[in-house]
Amino acid sequence: MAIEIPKNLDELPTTRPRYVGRGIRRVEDVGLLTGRVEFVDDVVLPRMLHCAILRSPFPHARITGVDTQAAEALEGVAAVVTGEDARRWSLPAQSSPEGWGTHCIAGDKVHYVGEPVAAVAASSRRVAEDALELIEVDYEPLEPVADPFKAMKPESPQVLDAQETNVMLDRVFTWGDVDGAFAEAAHVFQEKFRWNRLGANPTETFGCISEWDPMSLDLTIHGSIQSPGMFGLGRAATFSLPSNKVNIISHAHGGSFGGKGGTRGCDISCLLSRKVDGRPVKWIEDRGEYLLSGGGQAWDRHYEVALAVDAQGIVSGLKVGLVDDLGATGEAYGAISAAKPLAAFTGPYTIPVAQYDLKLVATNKLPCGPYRGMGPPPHFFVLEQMMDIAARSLGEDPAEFRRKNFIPADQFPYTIASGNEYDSGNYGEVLDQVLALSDYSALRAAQVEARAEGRLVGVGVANAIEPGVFDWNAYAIVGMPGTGVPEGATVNIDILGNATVRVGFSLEGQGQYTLVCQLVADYFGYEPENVRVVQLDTQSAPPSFGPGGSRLGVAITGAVLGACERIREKMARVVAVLMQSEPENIEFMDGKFTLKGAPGAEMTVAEVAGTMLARSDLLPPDIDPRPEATHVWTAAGRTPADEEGRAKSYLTAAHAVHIVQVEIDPETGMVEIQRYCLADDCGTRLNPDTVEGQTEGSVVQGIGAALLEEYVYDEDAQPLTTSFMDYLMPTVFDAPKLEMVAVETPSPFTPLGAKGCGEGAIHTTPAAVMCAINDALAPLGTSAREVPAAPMRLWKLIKEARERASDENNNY
Amino acid sequence: MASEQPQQGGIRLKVRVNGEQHESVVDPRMNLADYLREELRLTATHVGCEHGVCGICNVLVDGQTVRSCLMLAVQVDGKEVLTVEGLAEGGKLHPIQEAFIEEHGLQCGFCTGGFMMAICELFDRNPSPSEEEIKEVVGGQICRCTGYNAILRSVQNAAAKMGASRS
Amino acid sequence: MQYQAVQTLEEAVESLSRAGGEHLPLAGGTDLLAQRRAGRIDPKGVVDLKRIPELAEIVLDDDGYRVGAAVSGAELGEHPTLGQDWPGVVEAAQLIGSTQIQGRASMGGNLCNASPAADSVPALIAAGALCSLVGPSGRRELPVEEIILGPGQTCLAPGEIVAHFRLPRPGPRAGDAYLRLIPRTEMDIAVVGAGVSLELDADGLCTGCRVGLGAVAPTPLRLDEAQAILVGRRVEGSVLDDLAAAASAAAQPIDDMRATAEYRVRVVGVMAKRAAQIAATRAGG
Repeated sequence: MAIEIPKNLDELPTTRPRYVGRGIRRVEDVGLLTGRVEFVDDVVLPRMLHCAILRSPFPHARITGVDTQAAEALEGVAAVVTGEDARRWSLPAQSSPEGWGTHCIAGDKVHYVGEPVAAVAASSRRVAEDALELIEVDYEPLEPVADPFKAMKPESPQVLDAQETNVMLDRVFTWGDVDGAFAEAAHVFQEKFRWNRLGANPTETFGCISEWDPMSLDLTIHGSIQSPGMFGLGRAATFSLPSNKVNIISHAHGGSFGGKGGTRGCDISCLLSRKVDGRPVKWIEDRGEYLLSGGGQAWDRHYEVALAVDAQGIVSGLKVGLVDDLGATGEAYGAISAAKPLAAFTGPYTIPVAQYDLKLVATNKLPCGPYRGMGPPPHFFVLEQMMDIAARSLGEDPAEFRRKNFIPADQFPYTIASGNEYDSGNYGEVLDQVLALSDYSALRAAQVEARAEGRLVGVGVANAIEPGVFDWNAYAIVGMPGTGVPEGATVNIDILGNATVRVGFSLEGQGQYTLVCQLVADYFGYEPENVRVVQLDTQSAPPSFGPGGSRLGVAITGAVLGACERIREKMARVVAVLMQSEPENIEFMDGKFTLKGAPGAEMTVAEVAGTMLARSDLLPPDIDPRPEATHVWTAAGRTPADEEGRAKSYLTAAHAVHIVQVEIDPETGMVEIQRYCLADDCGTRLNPDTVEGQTEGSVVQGIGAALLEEYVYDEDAQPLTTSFMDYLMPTVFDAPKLEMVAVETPSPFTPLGAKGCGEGAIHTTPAAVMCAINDALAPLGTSAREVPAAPMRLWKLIKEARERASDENNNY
Repeated sequence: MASEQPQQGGIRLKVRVNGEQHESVVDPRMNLADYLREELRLTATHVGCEHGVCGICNVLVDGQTVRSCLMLAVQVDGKEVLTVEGLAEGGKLHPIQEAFIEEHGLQCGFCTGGFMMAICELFDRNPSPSEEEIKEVVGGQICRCTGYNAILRSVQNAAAKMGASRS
Repeated sequence: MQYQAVQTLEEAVESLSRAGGEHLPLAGGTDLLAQRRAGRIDPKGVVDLKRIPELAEIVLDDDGYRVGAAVSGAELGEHPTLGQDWPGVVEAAQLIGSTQIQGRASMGGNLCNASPAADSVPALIAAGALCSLVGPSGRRELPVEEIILGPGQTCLAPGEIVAHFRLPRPGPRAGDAYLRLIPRTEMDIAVVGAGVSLELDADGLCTGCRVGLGAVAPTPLRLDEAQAILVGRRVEGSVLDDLAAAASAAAQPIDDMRATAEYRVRVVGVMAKRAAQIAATRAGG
């Protein structure tokens, strides 16, 4: 009897799923709401010291001296580390592309404002901060470069001494006969776009407590760490340690969205711990540090895009040129964000050929890192603006223009030009649902009336693909090798029949512990209360990557159901022995093992588990008596990338269409979102309430991206965004009431047909809001090409358009 | 002078927190959030920005919502402080906590305490607030996970629950 | 850092003078503590003014209102008549930070912080508020617009503190309003702000007005041209456009990351115009 992970809800061993596919109370919530869940800053270890980090005020400078004597002499200070310690005990950070990493503390040069130059461990954070003021650093300022176009020129200041250029990567990827498509096109549309740098800003910053024993070299790190397994491997590489010397204990954390960051600060706390004989050293990043030099600043992009359209209005080719300003180094994997669009380059459309002219450039800004969506959201912003430009020029309705370019529902699985395969979809149905929900024709009629009154009202229709369940091969073009990302779970039934599931990731907000309980409850006929989820450290847990790349819901479903299947298989053998039959005669349904053709011969899971543990003497010797199993799930069928980067990478392709109505105040440029409707299809919804929660949150992050959020640097690369009064995240007043409808087209490739959905709406929202803004501006003959569409930017466009119009009138 | 100033710059502080009387000598630089978290080990008060914007560190001082990062510990001398730890009583969740569970009003849960404390004060002033009145309060807080729709539903649910328990 | 909570004005003045500028007065603390955390200030001590009766109360007498400098925005809103008489001032004070900050943030603190973008200041200027200062050399009274000298700078002498604001009793057909532009709807710093107060006669003609502008110069401004534009006219149509143009002409803003100077110049006019419309409606025009 082989194990077989159920491909849809009907294959679960239950007459009717009672929990999977429904919204249930989250098991995470009571601990979080009472404050009993332990975040890393709540942890106090014996003899613990506190770390504070001194950071460079210069974007680019030579360090000619660091004097730490006075700081070391301050009462309460245990140790000070500088670039010298970093060079002695660690390697430059691994990077993508390779060779663009630096040490965690600057050596003879600083490359951006906020780069660490020294750090203190002291009896309290206040003492450590006081000590920083006693450290004297001599800088010789160098000319900085903040503009990637300047940085690409040979006469530019050189950011990293170890390199000979600021261009990290310069390659053109061509998929199909792109030149032919553009030569034959009936229409070619071209446009430039700017997406300004923004970021994750989870409500909890990064924090850690590091203990590095200088004798055994065992390194233990408590932290608010999104991907503990990978974080541990990274530390092992940085400190040249065998990977099994590093143990990561991840704590519940206050959001991440990819942007938890923290590797530099963590490495610094490790160096300090080693210097103080292995005492625990706590580093809690403050918000100022996060904004200046933390994780998650992302997508500082300049685009030049061309779309070829044939005489029937079918898009026949796409060229995307991207100059991506990654900041000073490649340590934070910002490059991956430029590679990920390959997983859905042509969106939901049949565009047969495409080209990606990609330049990754270093400047004297904070290194870019990951943020929710990891790159495609700006890509879809530009693709969807191009679709609107084409539709408007051809006099077609934007919804119908998209529809005729959709991949038809009967053509899945569908391989796109950039190589990835989409599992399933029904894009026309998703569009129909949201058109009906929004009463689209009424929106258009209202727009006609508003325009007649001179009001700037616009309706945006935009859609995007959310690649789900990431695989490393998606990032092959920026030097990430290999395929396969494991996620494991151990399911254990105790002697009284209660289940414990051991996993390797911590609470982050998406509700996966609840999902685990739902799965085990339905599989074994339990109640979710009978299931407990326990998180283990990386040296004890089953292999785990954790959340990221819209994968964990699907991956943990595979892991848990796989483990349940293994237990069922083992128990069926036990039951066969006890009932003096063969395993193939044992059936399992609704938590009971029965013997085919023998009514009344049945055992519950609890009875079997109790028997296995209490009477292992009755079992055949080749049966492991523990009612426990571990399953490690990976996505099947992933392929290595070819030279042009083409691979089967992300396993699932979710789809959503958003319809947004906005009005722009022409005197101020302020945008009001008046309606927000969306339909989305992420396959089987394992917990519709948590999916909805991810969607709602992601829409509002997308609105922040479209209208508010921006990390501003001046032309000398000085960061100006230093507080939450500068980095404007949406409040409730910026969050529209959402009208949502779901379509469920199960994935044929995943456990239960679910698709990745955690990153979600941010793929579509900025595109949709910008489409609506540009629809509102269309009568003025102008359009917004820069994100965020801050009031002053829109106001300027409106003013200039009106000046042009009045000039033209004057000419008559 | 309200507070006696002992040697070494420490100041004696008497404060009732969640109904329990505490006496401490504190560094006058210490803010209320650090006092609650470090001295009293009441770690349900989380700190999000340390400059008064995000509202995650809200606690009630004499019934009024304050950012505990923007208040000195010594300023609560003689006052009554309520934190998230004081919400659930006798092993039973507060109706606001129940409502957040029912409406999925939290995801990572890091900011939720700040919302709950501000909402507590709102209900004290106004047991059946309108949506606009709820937004006024919720609008003073940052949540990065939920997009606020579920938080508004939670507050409305809590108002209904508490109204029902009053009548 | 030392902490001292004083009970009387005299004690406060004495204590601040003795420290020779190294101690700072603390009202709500919302700005002082945020700035200290950001490392912009590092006072050797703070003097908590919240317990001084004059600073904490609102008194209405024949001359009008005496609003203590440490009264919070929330307390302003709870007063039975202040919000009807000076709705623009109360609204502006309630824009200092978020709802929760308003429980502590005060107009005195907002003024002494001397930000060009302070929300309550243009509204107080428009209201014709006087500021009562108490210092080592006694008490003096100045118009609000004379307090701020430049970003972060006031005319307060060492040891001098703002005790209260005086707001006149408004006439029977008077109204005021404050509007600001911020990209985010809450918890943001004004890109520009405009406060307007005006009085109308029985025919709806303006008999007097004052306009204050914020975030368009190193200090909040009083727009003196407003009198000539509005008085004797109805507050509508081209009169409003003239007011907007005058506000724009008076603005001398800077470019910063929140907005370009060009944008501020235009939009401060828009805010002044719209605030005047609201004020006129409130005045019964």
